[in-house]
Amino acid sequence: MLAVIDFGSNNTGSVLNALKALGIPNTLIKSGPELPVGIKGVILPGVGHFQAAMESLISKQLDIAIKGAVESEIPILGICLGMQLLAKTSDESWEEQAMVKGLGLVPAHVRDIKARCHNFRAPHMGWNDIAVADISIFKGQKEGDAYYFVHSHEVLPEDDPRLLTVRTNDEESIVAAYEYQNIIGLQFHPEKSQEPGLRLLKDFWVKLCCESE
Amino acid sequence: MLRKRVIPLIAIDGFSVIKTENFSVRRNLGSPVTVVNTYNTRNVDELILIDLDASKRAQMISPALVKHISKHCFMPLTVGGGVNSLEGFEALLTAGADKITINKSAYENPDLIRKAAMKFGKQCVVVSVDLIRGIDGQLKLYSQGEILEEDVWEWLENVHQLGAGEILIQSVDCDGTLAGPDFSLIKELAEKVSLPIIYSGGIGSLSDAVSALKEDISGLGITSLFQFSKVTPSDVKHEAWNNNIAVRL
Repeated sequence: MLAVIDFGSNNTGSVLNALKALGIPNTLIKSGPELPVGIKGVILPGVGHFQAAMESLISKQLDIAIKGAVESEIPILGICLGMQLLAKTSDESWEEQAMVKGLGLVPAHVRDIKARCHNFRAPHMGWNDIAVADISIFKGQKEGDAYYFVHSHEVLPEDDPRLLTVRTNDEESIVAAYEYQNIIGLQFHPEKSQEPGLRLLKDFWVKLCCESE
Repeated sequence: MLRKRVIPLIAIDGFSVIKTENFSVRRNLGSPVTVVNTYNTRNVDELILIDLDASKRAQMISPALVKHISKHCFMPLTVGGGVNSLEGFEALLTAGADKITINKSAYENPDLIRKAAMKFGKQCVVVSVDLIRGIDGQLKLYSQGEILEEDVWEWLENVHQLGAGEILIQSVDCDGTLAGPDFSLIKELAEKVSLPIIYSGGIGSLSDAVSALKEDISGLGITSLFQFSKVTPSDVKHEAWNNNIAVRL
């Protein structure tokens, strides 16, 4: 069973529709602190604002549930804001110049794309492709596969050799995906990226969640 | 490389798909679900679905309709029509929309842009702006049948500062005419607006689409060409690709 974290306004509907189409058994988790027994993988989808999302996660003790899953070596897939929430800090806060703490499970930080990329028409909206990826679930990727991005902030990785990243194929490239131990983060929306995206979701379940036993 | 998007725009009157001409004359085109399903099989980049009469009914586009559509449609979906509150944003995002577009309510309550961006993130806030040229050819803001006093470029900058993530521009003069887009408007937008821009209005042929996509816009909204001719989104993208424009095939 795949656990899909639902902290309120994070649009789990699209992810659930995709999992249903792929025949992957799943259950919605709306509060922690523990995950039910028998969970083989966790998806943390995300649409929204970092600070709003962190407050929601913490109020429902979902942060404890996710950290517990990581400790138990259950594979985690963070999607879009979800992959950002797993990082250490973000500047997407309600106060000017203030930083918000993330779940701190991945050595990376989240920042406004415009702070670093000056020629970029931000937010990053639309279909983009990525440089060849040496990350487990991307092994089935075909050249030219494009994925749907819709985000205003980017992940900036720390210099940690255990953190593998994949970037978009642009002059001002941004992190499109990462892998850190048993955590995969996807900046784009696989559930909206049609065939290439659905293939990734399937591979996460089959290769990481099922075969890891 | 970030691809330019070819986006069918579907307007409904609450129940049926309609197509306007210059934002007035209407033709009824049937069930929204049927129309969306056609696009679903055509691997489109994104869809925009707007309920044109929602404000008049003092309602919002139906979340139930959005939920029904998003169950079968695995493509990015922007919806709008009468959205004037954070609860509205939340209901539509929960129903399966990826982005919400607001138009009239942005004028009535610009702070909604800021609040929605703070709660849901600016990437899901699309501000839709309808533009018309006055007798002297000057660009003006157009809303609910009236020309507004405010300066177009000041409004667009204001909307940007408030937290919009994307701008959807519709040309009232070109709407439904299939007579070609307003190229000087497109160029001026590309130069003056730094947010992602989707332009819509007047695309009547493959060559119109290619010329528009060559400008620095992020997406091209097309309606009449897809609804009244045999041209498909895929035809437009192949033609664009053959003209060295980065699109997703």
